[in-house]
Amino acid sequence: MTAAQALPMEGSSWNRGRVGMACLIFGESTFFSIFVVAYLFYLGKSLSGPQPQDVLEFPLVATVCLLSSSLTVVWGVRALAAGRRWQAGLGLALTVGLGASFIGATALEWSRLIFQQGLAIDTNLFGTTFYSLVGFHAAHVILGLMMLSGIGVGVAAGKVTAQHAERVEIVSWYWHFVDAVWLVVLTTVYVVGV
Amino acid sequence: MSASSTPGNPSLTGGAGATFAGSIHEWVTTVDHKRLGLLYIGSGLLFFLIGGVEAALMRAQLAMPGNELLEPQEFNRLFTMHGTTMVFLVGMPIITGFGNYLIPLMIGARDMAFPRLNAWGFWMFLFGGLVLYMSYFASMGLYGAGTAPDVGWFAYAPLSGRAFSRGNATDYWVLGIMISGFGSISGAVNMIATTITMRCRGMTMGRLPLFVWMMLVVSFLILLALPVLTAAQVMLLFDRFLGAHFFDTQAGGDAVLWQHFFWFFGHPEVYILMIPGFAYASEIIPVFSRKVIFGYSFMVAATIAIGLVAVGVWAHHMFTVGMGRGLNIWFAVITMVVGIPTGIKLFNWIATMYGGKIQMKTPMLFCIGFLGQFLVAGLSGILLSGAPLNWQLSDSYFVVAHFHFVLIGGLLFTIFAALYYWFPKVTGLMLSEKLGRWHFWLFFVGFHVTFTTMHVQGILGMPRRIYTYPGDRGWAIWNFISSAGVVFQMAGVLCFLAAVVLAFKRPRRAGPDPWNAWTLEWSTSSPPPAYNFLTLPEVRSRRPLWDLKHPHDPDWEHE
Amino acid sequence: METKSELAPEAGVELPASTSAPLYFALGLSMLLASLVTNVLFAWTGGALAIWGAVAWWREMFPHEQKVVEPAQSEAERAPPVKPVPERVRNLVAGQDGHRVRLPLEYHPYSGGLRGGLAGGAAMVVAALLYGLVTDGSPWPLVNGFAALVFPLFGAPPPPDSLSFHPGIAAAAGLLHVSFSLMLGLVYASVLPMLPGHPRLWGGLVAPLAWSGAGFVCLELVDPGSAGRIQWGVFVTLQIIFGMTAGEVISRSRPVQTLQSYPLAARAGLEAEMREDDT
Repeated sequence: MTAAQALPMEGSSWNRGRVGMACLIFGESTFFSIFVVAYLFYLGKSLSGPQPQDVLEFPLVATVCLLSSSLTVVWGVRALAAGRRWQAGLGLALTVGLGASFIGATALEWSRLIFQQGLAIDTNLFGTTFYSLVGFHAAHVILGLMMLSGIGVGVAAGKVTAQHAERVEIVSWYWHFVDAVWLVVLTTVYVVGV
Repeated sequence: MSASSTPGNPSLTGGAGATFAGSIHEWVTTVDHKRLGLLYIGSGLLFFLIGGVEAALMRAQLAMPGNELLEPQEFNRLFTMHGTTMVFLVGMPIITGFGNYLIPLMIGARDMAFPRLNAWGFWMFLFGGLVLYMSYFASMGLYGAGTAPDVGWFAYAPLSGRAFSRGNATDYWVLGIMISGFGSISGAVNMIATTITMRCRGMTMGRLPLFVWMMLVVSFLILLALPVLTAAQVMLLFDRFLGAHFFDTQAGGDAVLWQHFFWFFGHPEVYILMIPGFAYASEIIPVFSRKVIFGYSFMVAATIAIGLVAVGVWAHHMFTVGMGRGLNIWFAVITMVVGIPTGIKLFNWIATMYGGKIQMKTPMLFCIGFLGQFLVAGLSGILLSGAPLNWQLSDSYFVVAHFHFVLIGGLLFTIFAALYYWFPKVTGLMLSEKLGRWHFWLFFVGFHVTFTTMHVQGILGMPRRIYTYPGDRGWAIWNFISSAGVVFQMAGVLCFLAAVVLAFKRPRRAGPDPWNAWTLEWSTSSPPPAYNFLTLPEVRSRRPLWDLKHPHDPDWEHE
Repeated sequence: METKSELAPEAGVELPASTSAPLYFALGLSMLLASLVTNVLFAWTGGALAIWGAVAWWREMFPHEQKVVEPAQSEAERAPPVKPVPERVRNLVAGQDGHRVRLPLEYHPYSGGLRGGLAGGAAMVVAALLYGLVTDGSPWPLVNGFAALVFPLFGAPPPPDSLSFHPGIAAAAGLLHVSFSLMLGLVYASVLPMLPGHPRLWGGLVAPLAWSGAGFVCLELVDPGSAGRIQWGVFVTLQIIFGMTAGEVISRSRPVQTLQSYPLAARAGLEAEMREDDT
């Protein structure tokens, strides 16, 4: 009757960092879903061209880069947890590289759309919704890249070690979330929308 | 409750706070959940006074037909700033402040899960509020003078677009609310993480105080609603600065989309503000009825149900825009469904009081006022949810009366109850019971004189947001009565301020547990030390202090 | 609740250290956003402050969280341990005198309610026909008046004149009357046993007066025309005749016990022995 009781979360892997990141991801998802709703709502309602089906090309390379970076980050985090420093650094560097290529591909796409096709944010409803949705996703990719490269530098300098693996894993959740958002954006913009 | 008026309390001023500058430095760098809670509540109360003055000015203008006290433009700014202030800069910080202060104490923790994020959230809220009010001085209006936003607190498109809202006034509204919104979101993340991961031994989810449960639901609603507002505001900014066309009807954009987005935030926001009121009542009513809360699990379930239904009712604010029969019926029915879980709660509070030894202390007075007034608010809400009646009453003073019954009769009364109830814990000093009674009765009378009459003006057809009206409509006498009530309300608030000052001038020590209550915060000293509990507590039931006070009949034998 | 010591708390408790980093980060972000409506200088200052704050925040957390040891309160400042109170607790039991005695321990059977409703309705019809005969020389004015009041609600035309007999109208009015009477009878059967005092008083007088009053006030607001056509004195008298008859018939039916007075095990349908203190 007076035996000591367990802590409520004892034995569970849900510590405050994970719960906090899960909540952040939940909040961010609502943010993105509003932009997705706006994109779908305004689909085909632009009063003037260019229309999505005229100018959009399926971003195969960018998609492959971003999705594969989710795998490399898992690989890197596992290596960090196991204390394999160089492998962890390599995993993170690969992730950052792949993410940067995604951003590069987006930049190329945007410059083509703006300078060759004449589609800017104030051109028509398509431009308005397209640049907001894709732009906010790209901004989140950049934010994730900044965090991952900070950690990567730390690993290279030997400051981030196995004892930080848990926190790095929580950051990697954010990266997976950014990936998942891309799948939604891809479906909305490049599959449903054209 | 302001930061600098707490001399003689070691845990409030601390060691290095001997000098004034040192004390300020301690408060602005603090990451302690109790101090941040007080900062939230204190700045919320300051904004409350500002918002109250704005309301009083508007009532003075409307007291007589054809009054010329205020310019029409000035009136528009006042109702915009009043609404925005009361929702975002009074309601939000005060509920976050109480959550911050009480959640760790109630679940037996030493701090929030993310203390620094907590501090960041507070500063974002405060700077957001300052940015909004900066518009009075800095916004470049058409005539070069500073102007505050004047597009109403829901800033409907296309009025808020570049073409109709020149200058930067509307941008100040967007930016100020957006900045403080980031603060609210971080606060919600923090409260969820704290509640889930920081509970003490034995504090299972089924034993959480109802306050904590309700704040958990509120936090989820914040995560669901606030980012929606942020997204919509970003779109509005894009429209205004980059020439985007989200709400630009000339380029095929849809002004009604803004209404959908805004109310998809706006209606959950009502519950974000109201559920904390339920939370305070659920802690206070049992203590002053000397009975355990009736139907604990049903209270939790009803709160979750309200949270779920809250996200499906937003368009009942939009019956008059012509959504079509199907949507009208859907939103009318779902809105009426809200009455079921809310009714469950009301009955549970009454059942808690039933057969109890009721002590009519000030917090209980405010809670009883809340029960009756919230019932009226709920009933007029059900009336308004009927789309045909809504077409008649929408945007009239009936609606104004309805939501002031919710937010003042419901929320503000429980906030006052909570202030009287937890003030002894926060400062270690009792508030004057006599002034508290004066406060309650003056405010109660003033509230009803002002807002009960507003139902009549609304039925008589007086639209909201008009700056004056002709004398032959039959509205004049009702408006005069409404305005007269403001005097009583202000007198009531002055009684509260006097009680706070008096508590420090003529201190009466409260001791750790002045109300003979049952939750963990009353087991530590008043004010609590920075670490809350020297040894972390361990609980076996929902009322740990009851168990200690009644070892021969502890609660865990009944739960 | 038992207290349980973990470290050696007397020395003090480790808490997160105070820091200005969140303040600078928040100020920087706010200025950055506010620069949209003010000046580009705000953007530069805000950006610099935000970066500075973010770096300071990072250094608070990494590689180890900055903590301070908060000294423990002196014995005198601490809250004394919570002591047991001398009073003993008496638990409420369902059905105990003085508290919650109004649990519906029994109710009247539905059949009684239906019978009562029919009887009340019949008494009301007889009274209405007699009234018509005495005042107007024809039994039908109140029947036609009832139809005139209710039919427009269903979109049917009101009767052409009030004194003569219209078979269709009489049949429809009778049908409505019977259904209203049955519904009210059912409500009486379930509600009357829960009301304190004499059920005949509630059912016969209070309830009819209450709904007549409510009807009077509402109809005056909703449809002043119809309200003017109703003879309210006759209306109230007829309702009371209904209520007295229905209440009398219902209160004569044999009440059925609810499960409220049974122990939990029996209510849950379990076969179990009853403890003495359960009842």
